Amino acid sequence: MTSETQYTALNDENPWEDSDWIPSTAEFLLPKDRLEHMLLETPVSEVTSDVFVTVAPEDTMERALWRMRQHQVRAALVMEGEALVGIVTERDAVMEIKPGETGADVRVQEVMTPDPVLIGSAEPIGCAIQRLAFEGVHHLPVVDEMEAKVVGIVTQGPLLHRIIETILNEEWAAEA
Amino acid sequence: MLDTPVSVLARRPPVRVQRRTPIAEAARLLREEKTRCLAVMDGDALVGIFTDRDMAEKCFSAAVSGETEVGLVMNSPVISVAPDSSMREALQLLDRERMRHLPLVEADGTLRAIIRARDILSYMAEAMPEAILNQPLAPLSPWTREGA
Repeated sequence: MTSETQYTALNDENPWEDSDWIPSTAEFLLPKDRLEHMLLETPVSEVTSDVFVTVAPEDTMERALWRMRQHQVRAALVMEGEALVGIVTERDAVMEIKPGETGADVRVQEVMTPDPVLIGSAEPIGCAIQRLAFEGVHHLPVVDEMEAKVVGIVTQGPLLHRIIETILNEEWAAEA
Repeated sequence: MLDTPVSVLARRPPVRVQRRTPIAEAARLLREEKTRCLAVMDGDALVGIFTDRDMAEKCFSAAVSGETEVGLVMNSPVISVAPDSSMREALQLLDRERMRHLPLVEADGTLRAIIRARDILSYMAEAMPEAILNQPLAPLSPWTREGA
């Protein structure tokens, strides 16, 4: 056996040789660090809901609420053309409209939150959680910084889901 | 962190209404107490919760009036947690039931607090400062307001 064939033989036994699989940092972390790793490495775009409702500032709250109900969402982005000027949520309706009224005499611009807190689609999930937990908001419009436009909205639901999914996967892996 | 009992998050006492309370009064409490969730009681027993979501979905129409009883539009039966339930269990419940508020009920049936999904997120943020708490603050607006 020449040295060249020996070399080939060794390579044949090497499971890494033709594989696309590259071990990620996550493979080497302790289980308790996995959640932190997920929070730091997953971009917001993965938990962004791209179903979002837009309304105009001069629309009535009745219309905004109707559109939210129609799409099963809790907030609508207030757009003036391509520009995001505010966000209006069910909470704003609760603050301003009396039960039994429909909101037909209330304009979106009177109750919306102007200049909402935003998040970039490439930022980590941990950053979104920090804003939801401490900025006093429940909906974060997600902006694509490259294209400079709103691409969706992120809320607690998908974030909680991602967290619990990571925790459970971790525990199943530990038991296996 | 995940095995911590949820009772550590029980901070402020829940805002209660009786099931016969008119919605107009419940709406006033939601606004003035700065809460998004009321505990609906029948005497001392918790029978439901009434959130601003219920209000937005059911109460802005001609079908109800300010006099309608909150018991007719509340969320019932209640899904609750015990004080020794873990954060993990609470998270699973919130995710599975798509809820944002979990009443914390003692073994003898007394309501102790209402745990919000946000409380759990803030708790996690403090437990994992590297991943959450120390993330950069929102760059654009210092604006925070009840609502969004």
